[in-house]
Amino acid sequence: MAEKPAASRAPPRAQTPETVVALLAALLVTVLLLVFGSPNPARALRAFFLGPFSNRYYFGNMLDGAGLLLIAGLGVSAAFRAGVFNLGGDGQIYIAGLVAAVVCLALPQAPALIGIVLALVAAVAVGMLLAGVCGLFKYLWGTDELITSFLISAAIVPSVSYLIVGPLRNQQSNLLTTERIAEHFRLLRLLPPSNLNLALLFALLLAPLAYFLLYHTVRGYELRITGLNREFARYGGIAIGAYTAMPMAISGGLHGLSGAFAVLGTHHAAIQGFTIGLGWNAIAVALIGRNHPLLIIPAALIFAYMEAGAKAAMLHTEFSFELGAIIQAVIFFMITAQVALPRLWLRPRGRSTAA
Amino acid sequence: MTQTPWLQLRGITTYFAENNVTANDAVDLDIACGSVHALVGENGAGKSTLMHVLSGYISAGAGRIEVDGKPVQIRSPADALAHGIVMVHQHPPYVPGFRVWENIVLGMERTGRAGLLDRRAAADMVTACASRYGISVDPHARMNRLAASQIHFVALLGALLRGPRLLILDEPTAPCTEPEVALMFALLRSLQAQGTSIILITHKLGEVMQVADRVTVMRNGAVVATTAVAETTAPRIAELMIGEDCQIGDFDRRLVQALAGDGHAAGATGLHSRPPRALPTGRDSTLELHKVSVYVGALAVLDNINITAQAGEVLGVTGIRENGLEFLEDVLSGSIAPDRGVVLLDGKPVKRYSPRHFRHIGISYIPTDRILRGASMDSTVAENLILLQRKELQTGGVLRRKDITAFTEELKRRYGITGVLHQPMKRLSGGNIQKVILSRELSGLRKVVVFSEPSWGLDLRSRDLMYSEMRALRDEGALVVLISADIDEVLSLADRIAVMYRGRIAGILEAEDRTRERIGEFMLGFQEHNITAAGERTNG
Amino acid sequence: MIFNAVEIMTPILLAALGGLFAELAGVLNIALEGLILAGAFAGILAGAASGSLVVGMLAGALAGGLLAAVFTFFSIRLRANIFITGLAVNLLAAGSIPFISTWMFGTKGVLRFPDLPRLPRLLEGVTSGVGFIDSLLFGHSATVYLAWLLVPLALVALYRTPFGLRLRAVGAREDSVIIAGVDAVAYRRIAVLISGVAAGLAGAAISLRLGVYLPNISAGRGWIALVAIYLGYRHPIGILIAALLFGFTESLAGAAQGLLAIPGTVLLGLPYAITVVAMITYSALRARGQRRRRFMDAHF
Repeated sequence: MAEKPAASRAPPRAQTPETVVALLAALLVTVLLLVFGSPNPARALRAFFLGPFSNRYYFGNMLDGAGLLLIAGLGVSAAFRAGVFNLGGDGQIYIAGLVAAVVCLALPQAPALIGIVLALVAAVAVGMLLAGVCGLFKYLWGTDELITSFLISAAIVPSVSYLIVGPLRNQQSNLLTTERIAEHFRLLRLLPPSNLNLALLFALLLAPLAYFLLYHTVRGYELRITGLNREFARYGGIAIGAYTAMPMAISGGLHGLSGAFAVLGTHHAAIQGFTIGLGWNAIAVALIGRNHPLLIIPAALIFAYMEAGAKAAMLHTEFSFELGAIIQAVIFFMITAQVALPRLWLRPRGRSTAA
Repeated sequence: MTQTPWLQLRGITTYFAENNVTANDAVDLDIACGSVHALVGENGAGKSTLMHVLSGYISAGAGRIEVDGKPVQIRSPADALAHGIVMVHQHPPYVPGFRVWENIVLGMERTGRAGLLDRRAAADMVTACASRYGISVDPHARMNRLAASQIHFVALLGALLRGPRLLILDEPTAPCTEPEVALMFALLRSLQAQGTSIILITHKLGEVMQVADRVTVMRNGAVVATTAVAETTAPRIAELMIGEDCQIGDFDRRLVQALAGDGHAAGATGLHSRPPRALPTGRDSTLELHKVSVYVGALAVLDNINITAQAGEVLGVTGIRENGLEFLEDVLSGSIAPDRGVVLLDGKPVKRYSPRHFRHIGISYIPTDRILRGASMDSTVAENLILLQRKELQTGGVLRRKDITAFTEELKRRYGITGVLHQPMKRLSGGNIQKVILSRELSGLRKVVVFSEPSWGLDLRSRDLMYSEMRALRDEGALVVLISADIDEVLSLADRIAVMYRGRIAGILEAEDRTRERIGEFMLGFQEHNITAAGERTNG
Repeated sequence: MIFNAVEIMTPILLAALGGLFAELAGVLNIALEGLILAGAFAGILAGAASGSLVVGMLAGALAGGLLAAVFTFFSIRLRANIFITGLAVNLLAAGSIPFISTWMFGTKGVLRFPDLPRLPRLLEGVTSGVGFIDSLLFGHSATVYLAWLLVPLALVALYRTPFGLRLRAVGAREDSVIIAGVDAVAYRRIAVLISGVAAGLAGAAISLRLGVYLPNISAGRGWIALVAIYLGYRHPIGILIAALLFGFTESLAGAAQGLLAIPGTVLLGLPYAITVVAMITYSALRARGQRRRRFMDAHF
């Protein structure tokens, strides 16, 4: 048989009310934790809500975070849209960041453009490879890509950390980090002293491009159809095998891109654990944005705001804990839940009894 | 027959929001104690839905149910079982890896020591009940080794062991051979004698006349008539099923007669005696299955199939479901590759067995399963319509919006699809879904069109439209394959008819010897008339 | 080394046996990791507070069960996407434990409980005369024997009781159970709760054996257990063998670390690497001769 449809799962999708409910619930839980967990609730709350807007530094960093989330979120939804799961985003971003840093560090004399392009290409390639093989195994043998992508990523994260703190460590720095990449590779900062840089503009261009590809091209149509109904896609002569492996690879590639920008634009070096959690946040962003490339823009902004707020709250009070994971958890619980909302218009009007 | 009804249904209304269908519209039904009540109607008339409501499988939007004059709430199958209402489904669901006894005792297990399953008691119980009604079944056999009719009898045994006061049977004889049908009817009579009421869903009017006391006819979700069987005739029931209030044309009249099983009358009006058409010779396309076999495990579900069809003819393939029709459908559409043998188009073996390749070489296909295979319910109507034309509607990989709008509007208009093009497919009714599939499949130029059970769920008007499309296709020189378990449909449309029995072609009937009776004999395996178009012998 | 393998295997076996119930009821429980974590944390807290290991184990089971109840509420009651909610459980455990830990002990790092009784070793000194059998069977932590005991228990519960019959039917063909008047949803829910309790036990077994709580103490065992269910052909005996294999590989790798000087950090990823290789190999082997399955499902 030339093609065989591997078992597929429905792409997780949220409806508008659920999205709102999930965001409100996450907000509520955060506020409750700050109120009851912080020694100074008032200050913590103010830091959470206003912190991201308090100065250029925080505001710029928030937008920078939104840019990275946007790119990775597009990556998550590329897989979701095709009915496959890429749970390995975290590891893909992390290793891609390291690869980008290594490329820049290995070629310090290269012209800016060449160095940057090479770093981006290498990072995207490694992301594509890691996620793509999971798609390939799924296509060949039906291996569950959800589990393999997670496991491969989890296996790689410690090795990346080892390289950063071990052989590649910058001995001069107090941080567990590689050396900083050469000045000319660093992307233009838009709002100094914050980390905001050209990557955000790039991300903002990427979203409409993704929208166009998804909704206005044959391949986008085929990908969406495959995600919604594999059997129908196969029946219609769509090469569903390609749409199992390719979306995974694209997803990994976008995660890789996000990791590269975290180095070239944000941190200028690969730091231990510097992108950990970004992959999971990106899943939340994709779900809030209902896997729609344009809706992912506000979703990334909202999520970046909540994350920046949580960070600010932690910095401004003596209290420190992982608000991020809890926000993610609440959103994940709520976002696809079918909260019973009145849907009266779906009920028929009672008809008169037949004689 | 003037007993107080044991069971009363009043104003049962069922509405499916997913596809905007009102399957039952204020249905009333009375069931007397110890009666056999037949429930008849065309596909989609709402018979099964009504019985699913009564057996608690789905819940009704409105209406009430009374047992012994007292209102009861049936919210789940457990509630129905508590009132002694047991249903044997048309395709009884079962666990493939389970043994017969496991499948039967599910939900009424007996335990021995320490709360463990008492297997011996279960097996004995099954054997005892089976022998009491003359059913032969091995309680330790695996379910996935059983034939379709045996699965039906296993489900029936399970129902009997639950001590039903009302037994609902949905098309119980569909997969059965003649002796099995006789066994089943004898069983029904002995149950009836014990005071069990029986509701028999069927579309075989002969069975109604044979075993039922009363008959209720449903059409479009509503009850059209309820009457004692002794006071009516099969043609009268058939007329009620089709509808007497609407203008019925000559074709429908003949259909009515055919449904009533009145072969002679139908023959006289020409339904079965289409003037024999000279098979076009030397035309471009031929489609041939050469020694095609498909195995599931050790079982040959398609066994050495040899058929040839030519451009300009409608080749009908019929048989009882589960005799290989569904596998033939899969082979003809490239969904599965035969284990042995080849499919040849224009004398050349097809290169690959994939729907993609089959599309590419000009084979179009209307599948039996519309929801899973034929449509993407979460995509828009327009996206469903452009599936096959996506390559023509693009420039450099970019879809041309304007042309798509024009194209889909045109299909919508031509096929009378009611629905909004940019709304999700799941908002459409079953009939409209089929129209979308049909219009899409017929929208390009195709050498071969494979129709599988195309009229399921279609109302008469859409059915007529589809039939004339099919004829037009043939007259334009296309090769049409019609796979249908509906004998009358095949009889009225096909130029030649292949009848399948247990994975084999039991016979191919040319124009002159096509009658319901002949087909029936082949379908039930009474004859092994091994001829093919080429005249070679095909041994199973 | 065999001795170590058996000890390492235990939490995996516990979690996988529980996960099997969910799997057979048709739920791929990717929340095992978080459930183990919750069990580990609750188990050691309760154990230290009460001074009783039994209370610790029970608390672990309870924590796993409660978190699984939250999981079923969202995934089954509110019909949320089961994978996304499974992730939520993992994140909730990983996110809220540091929070509680900070709140109670002022640190989100390592928690030491010097007063915690040591996990007793059973059948110590017993010998069969064969070293291999001795290290396989005797002198292990009590939790090892608990896990072993659960294998026949799971076998009986799944294959010899009405409960197991219905549970398997729910996973294989839901409507066959529904028409028999059985509440299929309830069975699915119970199956997930069982997997939560077992994963909680597994977590408590880890932390009580070590006597300390470390962040991310579960170290991927939930995922390994998930893969062990597949490798064990969804059968308790098969899972026992798969878990032993994982235990053996891991203890081999631990021994290799010293010899080959593999950095400790890299080794953290090793269980995942072994698991993913095992999973891919397994599915590649299984894919052969399976091409008819889909059509069986479609037509029978």
